Amino acid sequence: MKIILFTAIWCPSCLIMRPRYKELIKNDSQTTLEEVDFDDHPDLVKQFKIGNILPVAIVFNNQKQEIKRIVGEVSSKKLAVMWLEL
Amino acid sequence: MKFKRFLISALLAFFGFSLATLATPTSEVMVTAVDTPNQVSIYYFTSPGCPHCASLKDYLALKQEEKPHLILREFDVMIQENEDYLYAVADAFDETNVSTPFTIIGGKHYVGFSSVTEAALNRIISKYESEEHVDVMAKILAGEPLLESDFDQSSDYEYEIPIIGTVDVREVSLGLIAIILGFLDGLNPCAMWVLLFLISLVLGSDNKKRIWLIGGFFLFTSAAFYFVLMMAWLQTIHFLVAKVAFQIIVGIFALLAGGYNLYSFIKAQVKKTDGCEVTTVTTKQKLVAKVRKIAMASYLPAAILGVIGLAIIVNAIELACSTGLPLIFTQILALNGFVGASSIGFILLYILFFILDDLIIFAIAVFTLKISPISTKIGKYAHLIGGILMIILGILMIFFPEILLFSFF
Repeated sequence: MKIILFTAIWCPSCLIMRPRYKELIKNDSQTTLEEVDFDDHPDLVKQFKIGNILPVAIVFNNQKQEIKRIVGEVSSKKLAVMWLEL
Repeated sequence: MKFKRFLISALLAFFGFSLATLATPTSEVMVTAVDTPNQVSIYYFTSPGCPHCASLKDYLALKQEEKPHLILREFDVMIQENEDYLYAVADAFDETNVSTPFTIIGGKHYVGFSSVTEAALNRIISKYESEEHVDVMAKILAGEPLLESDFDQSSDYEYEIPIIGTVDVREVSLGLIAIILGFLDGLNPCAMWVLLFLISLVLGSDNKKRIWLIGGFFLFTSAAFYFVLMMAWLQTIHFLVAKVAFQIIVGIFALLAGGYNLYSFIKAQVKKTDGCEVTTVTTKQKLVAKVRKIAMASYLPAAILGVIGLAIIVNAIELACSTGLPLIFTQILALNGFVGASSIGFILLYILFFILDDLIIFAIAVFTLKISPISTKIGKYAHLIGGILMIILGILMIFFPEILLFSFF
């Protein structure tokens, strides 16, 4: 699986969520995390229809299909539950 | 001031008798230099056609119905002798604003009449009813010399609280308001991202001195910018002619700003997502480039100068984010007569709590080399509490300004 995480340098919530996503996949060698800067990649922002709340994490399966989208701040506990439900 | 009072006292003593006989009060009463408890004399200068004088007279008439032991004495300044007398009395009280209505009770005087004066008069009447006091006006009328101790220097806002003792309720209330509004204002995350970004860039240098200087100058300049801005607002309010009209405008502004804060909270609740809202990206991108350049500058003095400029720019741009609370706070200070030097302590207290969260984040970053941003959830609830407070303050400013004067009699 792959997670694309849209963040911005000016976004405190992105600073909060970044370590939580890293922690989430720490023991999962099958999953990778790629971070995309909202301001530097307007093309990707448009392509993935990122709304007006950051951060946005899009989870893709191995067939490169979007299977989950997590928007904004989510607690570590809730994030872990979401991850297990995938 | 002591010398001036002595001089005035000597002059009044010299001319006192003639002034007393020349003065033409509209009603005659016997006065003694020291009022016994329960006997309170109120002297007031009025002029025909003065609407505030009419309001004062209505108020005093009602007050006398309620408290028949009050002794009222009116001086119409259309009579030349009374006008001269008004100036002499104003001088004795060191009052530069010589206008009607001008009221004297015991060792206190009040210029003008509004809900503010009414609250102060209620309080001082209650106070003098229960304690012996010097009737300064009676002494002037009798031609007796005035002493420094004749003037009542006590605050209109002091209350005896068991165990604690005498407390100036206005100072305590204003201090609490400064702390609450400053803290809520500080939780507004508008400009915080720049500090976080700045810290994240300088943390990489692993140079603690650089981190301290760059972060410290950013915070200090932000605080200084806010201080200058609030002092300037306060002075502007002070020099405004239409103070009551402006107070109502600020009240309406507080209602609108409070409404917007509540709307922001409800919107975030409905969306059920807490995160950063994407707004004014171009401005932020420009700032990001500036912050990078400043943080990476190899020459430290240049970096510090850059940080000072950056703090001013950021706080000016993001001002719209927090204009409501400091403006409302300065209006409350002005309403209570705190301008110039007397307001500095309250403004500094507001600013201390305004930057408190930034200081904590900065201190954590310096000591742990980790960034701990404040969750937008906290900002969301700051919108809720701030919104409710602004609406309450707006209503008080428009309809019940006397409550914001913290005189509870």
